[in-house]
Amino acid sequence: MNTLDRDKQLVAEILNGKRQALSELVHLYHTNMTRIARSFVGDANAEDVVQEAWVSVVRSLGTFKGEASFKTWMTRITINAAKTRLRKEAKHISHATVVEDLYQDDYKEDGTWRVAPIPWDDESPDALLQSEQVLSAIAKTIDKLPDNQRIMLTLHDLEGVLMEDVCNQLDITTSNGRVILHRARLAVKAVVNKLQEV
Amino acid sequence: MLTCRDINERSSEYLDQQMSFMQRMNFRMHLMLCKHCSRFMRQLEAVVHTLHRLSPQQSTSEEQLEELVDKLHQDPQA
Ligand SMILES: [Zn+2]
Repeated sequence: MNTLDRDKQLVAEILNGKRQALSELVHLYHTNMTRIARSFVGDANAEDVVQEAWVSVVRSLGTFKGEASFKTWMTRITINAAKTRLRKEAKHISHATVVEDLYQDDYKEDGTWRVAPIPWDDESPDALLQSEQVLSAIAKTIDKLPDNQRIMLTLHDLEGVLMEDVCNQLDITTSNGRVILHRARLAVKAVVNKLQEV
Repeated sequence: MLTCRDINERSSEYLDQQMSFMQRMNFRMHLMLCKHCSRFMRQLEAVVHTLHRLSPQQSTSEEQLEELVDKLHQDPQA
């Protein structure tokens, strides 16, 4: 059974009062939703926000039509819960665009490389995923990114949310969203690159 | 003609398939001729694919999850 059908069936069973189906759904999505919430509100409040999101999800389960996937639906609810939390705490997502030129050190006036990129030991995702050092450096870098870059990278690259949806949620244009995503990726790449130098 | 710097600036659009056919051809042409940029692209692509595959760390214990399920299951408004 594919994910969509499985989730629809779980939802139907939950509506019939089956605790087991609810437990399955929570186990399937809680961890991903926590990662999403964390990118907005940080570690301390993420769990809380996701619990609030689950309450909304369960209360409105009857309205879930299964047109979008359950994950997409719940992602929206989680993001809304996270944004509500930020509003309550009078915090907002910093949309400060970095004005400094990200690339200036790497390229000459004429747009050619100033210093050639260094080779990596292994330029495959498999190799990167196997290195604890790389994974921990990536995780730390993501945490330290500016708000909008961290949220964008988490939603788009880690959770696979469509660019249009992320931009709607963040109330930014798609072209702005693409620049934000690119900067975030370059920041992560720079850190992986640094690990290769030593 | 795209410069190496242009390649960097547009590399995410290339990876995310946000280019027209012609833009894509021009981009590929540069990569064929420029080993620095093709290395840059290989590395960026590896990073992006790594990000796609990063699984989230479970931060909630099994007990907490079951407590949550109980709470949701008993929610009178649900
Ligand atoms: Zn080049």
